[in-house]
Amino acid sequence: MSRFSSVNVHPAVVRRLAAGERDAQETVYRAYASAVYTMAVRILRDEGLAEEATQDTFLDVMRGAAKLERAQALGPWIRTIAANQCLMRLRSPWHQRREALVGDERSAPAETDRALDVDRSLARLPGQARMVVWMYCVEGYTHEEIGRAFGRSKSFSKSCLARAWRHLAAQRDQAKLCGADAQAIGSAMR
Amino acid sequence: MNDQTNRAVDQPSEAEVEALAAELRSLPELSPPPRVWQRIEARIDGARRPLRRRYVPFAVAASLFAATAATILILFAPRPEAPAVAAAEPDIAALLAESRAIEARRRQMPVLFVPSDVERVLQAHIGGIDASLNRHIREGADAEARQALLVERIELLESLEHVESYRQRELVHQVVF
Repeated sequence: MSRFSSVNVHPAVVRRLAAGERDAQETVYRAYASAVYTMAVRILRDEGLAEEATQDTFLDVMRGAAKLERAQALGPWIRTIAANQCLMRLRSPWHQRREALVGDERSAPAETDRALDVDRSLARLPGQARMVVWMYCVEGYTHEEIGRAFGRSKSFSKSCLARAWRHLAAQRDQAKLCGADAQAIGSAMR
Repeated sequence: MNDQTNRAVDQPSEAEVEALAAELRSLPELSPPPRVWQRIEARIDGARRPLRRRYVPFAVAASLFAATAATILILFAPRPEAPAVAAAEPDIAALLAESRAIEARRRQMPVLFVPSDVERVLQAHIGGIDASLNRHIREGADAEARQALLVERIELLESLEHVESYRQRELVHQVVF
């Protein structure tokens, strides 16, 4: 389930957000900031860019809140703006050139070894594939919605996910082999 | 049968995708540092300041930027009476034409009152390149060095144009998907 859908904000707060009240703006920020920032860090792999994307997402939310018709639509709307902010940065020629230079060594903070493995594998995917994987697997977008977001077809999203999955599976196999080698070396030394 | 086998090879099964999704969802949630909210507050407060105070810094920055850009365009413009040009000069002329075309497109866009951080960073980088170009001209650097700077300038301008057009769309809140 998307982190955005697990957040509940009272409709009265949404009405006050639409009226531009500062405490409501802060409440909405506190409620959704982690969801937005987590998505941005996992997709962009750069904490500075993720901070910018988070900031610009909420500025857009605050500027456009008056046009939000249904309070229930707040979460999906913020998620859409956040995804667009990430996509915009991924598509920037500047970011693409930078990403090519930075290489594979980026990973976001993770707590356990397993989480670190998953996170590293995700980091090694190209930006576009990372975004498709995250949107489909974590945020619950359909292939059709992802295709539309990229200005492409549904099959673009499907094939991107399949390629990413193969890539991740290959990395996992590689990690298992390395783990087995390390275990064998450890046993031999004992 | 063959189709099914091929699909099984090419596409992950639902269970495999679900397993990947479960792993991704188990990644820890991250919190933005407190400075993000502080910046948002500052931007909201900035947007609420009186019109004149709010726009003076941007107007000054925009004037400086325009003046520098104009200087570069004048200095780099190909002149009919110029002597035989170096090999890279025709490329420079083409790059300048491309740069001018982007600037012209950007001028046609409605003005965004408060530039985002991304836009400010891009503008600062473009300003830095303009300063380097000016220095190269003063010091008589070769055409290749100027060409490299112009390529970088165009890439940054394209990024800036992309960000600005995106913000235009977002400001009218057309939800893309």
